[in-house]
Amino acid sequence: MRTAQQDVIDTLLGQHQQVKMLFAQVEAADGDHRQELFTELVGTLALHESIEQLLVHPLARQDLPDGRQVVPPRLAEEEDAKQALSELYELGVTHPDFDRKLAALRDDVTAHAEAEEELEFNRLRKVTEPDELARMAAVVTHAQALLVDSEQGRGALAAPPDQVFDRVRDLLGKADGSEVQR
Amino acid sequence: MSEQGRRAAKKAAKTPAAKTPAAKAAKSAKATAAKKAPAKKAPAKKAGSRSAPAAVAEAKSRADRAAAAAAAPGGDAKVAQLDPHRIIKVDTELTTDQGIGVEDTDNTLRAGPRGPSLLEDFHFREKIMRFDHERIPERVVHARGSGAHGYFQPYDAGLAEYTAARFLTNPGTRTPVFVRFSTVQGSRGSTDTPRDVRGFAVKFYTDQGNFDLVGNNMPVFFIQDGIKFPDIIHAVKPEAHHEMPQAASAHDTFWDFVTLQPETMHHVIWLMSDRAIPRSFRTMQGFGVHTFRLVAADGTRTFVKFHWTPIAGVHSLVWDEAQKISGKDPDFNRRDLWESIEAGLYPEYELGVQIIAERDEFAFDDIDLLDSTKLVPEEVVPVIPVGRMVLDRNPDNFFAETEQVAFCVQNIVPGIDFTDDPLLQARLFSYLDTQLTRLGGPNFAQIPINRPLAPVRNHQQDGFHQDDIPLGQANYHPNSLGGGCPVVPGAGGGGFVHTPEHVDGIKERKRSETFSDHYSQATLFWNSMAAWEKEHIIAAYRFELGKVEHRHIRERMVEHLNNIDHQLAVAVAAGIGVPAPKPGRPNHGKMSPALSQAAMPGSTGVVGRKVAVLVADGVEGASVESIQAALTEDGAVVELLGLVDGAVTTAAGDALPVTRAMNTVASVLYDAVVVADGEAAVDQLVNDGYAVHFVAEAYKHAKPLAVLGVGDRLVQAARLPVFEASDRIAGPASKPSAGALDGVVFLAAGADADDTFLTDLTTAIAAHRHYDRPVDGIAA
Repeated sequence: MRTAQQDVIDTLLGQHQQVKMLFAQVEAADGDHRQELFTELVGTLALHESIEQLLVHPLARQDLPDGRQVVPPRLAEEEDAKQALSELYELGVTHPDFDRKLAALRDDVTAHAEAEEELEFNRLRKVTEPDELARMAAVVTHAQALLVDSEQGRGALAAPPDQVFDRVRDLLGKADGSEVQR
Repeated sequence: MSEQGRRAAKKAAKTPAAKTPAAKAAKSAKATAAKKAPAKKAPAKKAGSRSAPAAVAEAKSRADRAAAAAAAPGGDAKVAQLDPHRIIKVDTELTTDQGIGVEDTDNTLRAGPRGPSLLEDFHFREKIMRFDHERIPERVVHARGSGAHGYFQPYDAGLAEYTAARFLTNPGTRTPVFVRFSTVQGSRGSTDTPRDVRGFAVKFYTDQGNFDLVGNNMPVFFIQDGIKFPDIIHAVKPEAHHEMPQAASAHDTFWDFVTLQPETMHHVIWLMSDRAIPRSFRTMQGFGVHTFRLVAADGTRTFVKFHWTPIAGVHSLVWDEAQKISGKDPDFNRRDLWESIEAGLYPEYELGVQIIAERDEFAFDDIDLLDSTKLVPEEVVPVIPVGRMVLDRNPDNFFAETEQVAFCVQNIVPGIDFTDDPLLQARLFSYLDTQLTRLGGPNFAQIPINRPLAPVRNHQQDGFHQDDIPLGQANYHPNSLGGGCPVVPGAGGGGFVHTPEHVDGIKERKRSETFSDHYSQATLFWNSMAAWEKEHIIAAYRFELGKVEHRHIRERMVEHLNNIDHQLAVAVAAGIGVPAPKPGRPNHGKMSPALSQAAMPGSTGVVGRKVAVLVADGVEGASVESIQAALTEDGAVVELLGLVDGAVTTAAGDALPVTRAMNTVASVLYDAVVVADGEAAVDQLVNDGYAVHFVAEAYKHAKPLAVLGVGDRLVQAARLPVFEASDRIAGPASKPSAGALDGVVFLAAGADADDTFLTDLTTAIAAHRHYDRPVDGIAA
C-alpha cells in the first residue's frame, strides 16, 4: 500500500486555493509581513503557472476535443497576470495604487482559475490516465524540493517576477527529466 | 459553460452595476425616483458557491444509496422497550412517591396559619428531599449534550466477508440507536457553539448486545496515550484558580500544555478549523477516531476505521457568528436538532468504513494505525459506504434519556474488536469507571435508556438501585441447582471471543518510534484546505493565542506552526505580536482533498435552512408570499420578522402575519435573509437599527441575501459593497471584487418572484455560505 497517489490536478487546485488565500492575506497585511506575502504570492503563481504551461496546458491541448480553443485564452491570461505582477513589483507594496491594482489582479486571477477548473482540470481527469497525472504531481513535488534546496533558496523568489518565473520554469524543466521516477 | 459563454459572463461581471437611483435622488423625491427607476438589471452574480463536480456527484450518490434503502422492521424496538417506563400524567391525580393521595401541595402542614411547620408533614419532606437530590454529577467531559433516537440500516451484506456483526450486514433489519452529540469543555448548561470538539456517540441496540461507537466530529485526538487524558482535559477546562473561561480553549493553560506536548498539533489545527463550530449536528461528520477491528465468522481480522458523513453536507458557522449565538441562543444546536426532528426533517448520516488488511499494518510510510493523532487519508484507503443512520425521534425526557445514557467504549459485539491503540485501551477502563460515580452504582445498565434489547442473564447481583428480581437459588457458575443456567454459550454459540493474538514485548513505559511525527499530518490538513478555510484557521489561531497572556507561550506556538507551514506561522505571528520565524522545515506538499469541507456540499438543498424575511407595514405581499411558499415547499423554515410581533399590513391592504419581532432574534440564528419590497416598508426598515444591522451582519457572515425591489435601500443603508464601494470610509474600496455579489440575488421592484429568481435563491441558500465576499469593512 502506498501513500496517497496525489495527482497534479489536486496540486493545482490546492494552489488555486493557496493563491486565493495569499491575495486576501496581502490585502490585509502591513509592513514586512505584506512584503513577504507578496513575495510568496509571486513565487506561488510562478510555480503554478509554470506547471500549467509546461505540463497541463499541453496535455489539455492534446487530450481535450476543444483543447486548441480552450488553452490559448488561458495562456494569454497568464501572460497578463505576469505583467500585472511585474507592475505591482515595480510599484512596491506601500504604493497608494498597489491595493487597487492588486484587487484587479485578484479578480482576474480568480476568473482565470475558474475557467481552468471548468474547462480543463475537471475534464482532464476524465480523459487522462491517472498514472500520468500522478507522475506530473511527482514532478511538481521534485521541483518544489529543488526550489527549496537551490542555493538561491527563498532569495530567488524575492526578485522581479520575470526572473522568478524564469528560475522556476528552469527548475521545473530539470525536475521533469528522466531522474523523476514514480 | 462554453468558452464563448464564459467570455460573455466575464464581460457582464465587469460591467459596473447600476447605481441605485434612489440613493442619489433628493430625499423628498426618493420614493418617486425609486419607483420610476427602470427595472434594474440585476448585477451579474454567482448565486451559488462553486462546488467541485466530483464532490457534488459524491453527495448525490450518497443520497441515492439512502433513498434506495427499503423499509425494514426493527427500528422501533427500543422505543417499544421504553414504553412501559413512560409515565403519563394526563388525567391522573397527585400522589406521594408511596401512592398516597395528596390533600394540598401549596401549603406546608402548620400549627395554625402563622404557626411553625410540622415535621410530620411527610408530603412536604418528600417533595423537598426529592428536589434537593435531583442533580447527579455532570460528565467530567462532554457534559453539554443533546440526544435523539433513530435507527441504523446497512445497505447490503457487503461487510459479511469482514465481520460477523449482524447489524452491519443484514439489510433486512433496522437496529435502533440512541445518539448523543456534545461539546467537550463546557459545563452541562454551557453554550452549544464554543470552539470545541463535538462528541458523536452512538449506542446501537443490536440483537447481539449493545455496541457503543463513542466518537467525535474530528478523526484524530489530541494525545496518543490515555495517561495524558487528565492533563489535556485539566489544561483545556476552566483554569483551576478562578474557574474561567467557560466553554473555551482560548486561555493560557490549554496553550501552555499543547505547546509542550507537540503530539497535540494535528488535533489542534482541526480545532482551529471551522470543524470546531458546526452549523448543526445535522451538518457534521463523525469518526470512531481509533483503528478498530472487524472479525469475520471464520476469525479473520481486518483493521477498520469508522466514518459518519451527513447527507446534509458538512457546514459550519463563522467564528464571530458562533460567539454571538452563544448569547442570542445558547441552545442553538440542541434546538436545531429538536426542531428538525419535530418537523420531520430527520438528520441522516452514512456510515462508511476504511478497511485495511492486517498484513498491511506496516505498509504505510508515515502512519501508525495505533496512533490516534493520525488519520488515514481517504485517497489512500477509500471509505466504503455501509449503511445509513436516521434520527427520527426526540427523547421524551432529557434527564431520563440524554443525561442517563451511559456510553462505554468497551461495549462491543461479536464481529468487532479492539486494537492496541494506547488511547483506546485507556478509554476501555475510563468509561466504565466514570459511570459508577455519575450514575450512582453498578446497576446503571438497568436504566431504561441503557438496557440492551438483547436478553441479559448472569449472576451479577445486588448493589445500589437493583431494579430486577432475579429468581432461583443459584447465583454462581457452575451450578446444578439452577439447571446450570445461564448456560455459557461459548465461542461456537455466539459468545464474544477476544480474537486470539500473539502478544510479546518488554514491559516498559515507552512510546513507539512510529508515533514520533507530530507535524506531517497537520501540514497535510493545512494543505488540503480551501482558501477560506485557511483564512479562518489563521484567524482562529490569532484569536486564541491573542487571549494567551504569557508571551512565551505564544512564541512557542509560532515555532510549532513553523513546523507545519511557514506561511501559516508567519501569518499567525503577524497577528499576535510575535516576530515572524525564519523558514522552518519545508512543506511536504501532500494533500488530502477529502479533508476540506468544500468536498462535502451535501445533497439536501435548502432542507432545514432557516430563512428570515424582513417585513414592515407597506410590504409588497406577493413576492414575500411566493418566496415563503416556494422555500417552505422545498423544506426550508421561513420566518417573517417584523419590527413588532403580530401582523403587518401589505401595500395592498392585507394583513400578513409576522412570525416574531426582529429584536427577539438576530441574523446569526438564520441561514439566509430576504429583504422585502415596498416603499413604505423599506422606509421603516432603513430607520431601524436592528434591521440595518441584521442585513449587514448576514452579509458579513457570508449568508445568502435576497433583495426584493426597493429593499436595496436597506442594503445600501447597511453599507454593503453590493451596489457601490460603500463599505469603507478610507482605504481601497471592496468593490470591484469578483466575490461581492456571491450569493446575492435581486428582484425588480414590484415584481413577483418567478422561477428564475427562486432557482437562484435556492441555489444560493443550498450553497450555505459565500466566503469570497469582501467583508472586512463591514461594521457588524
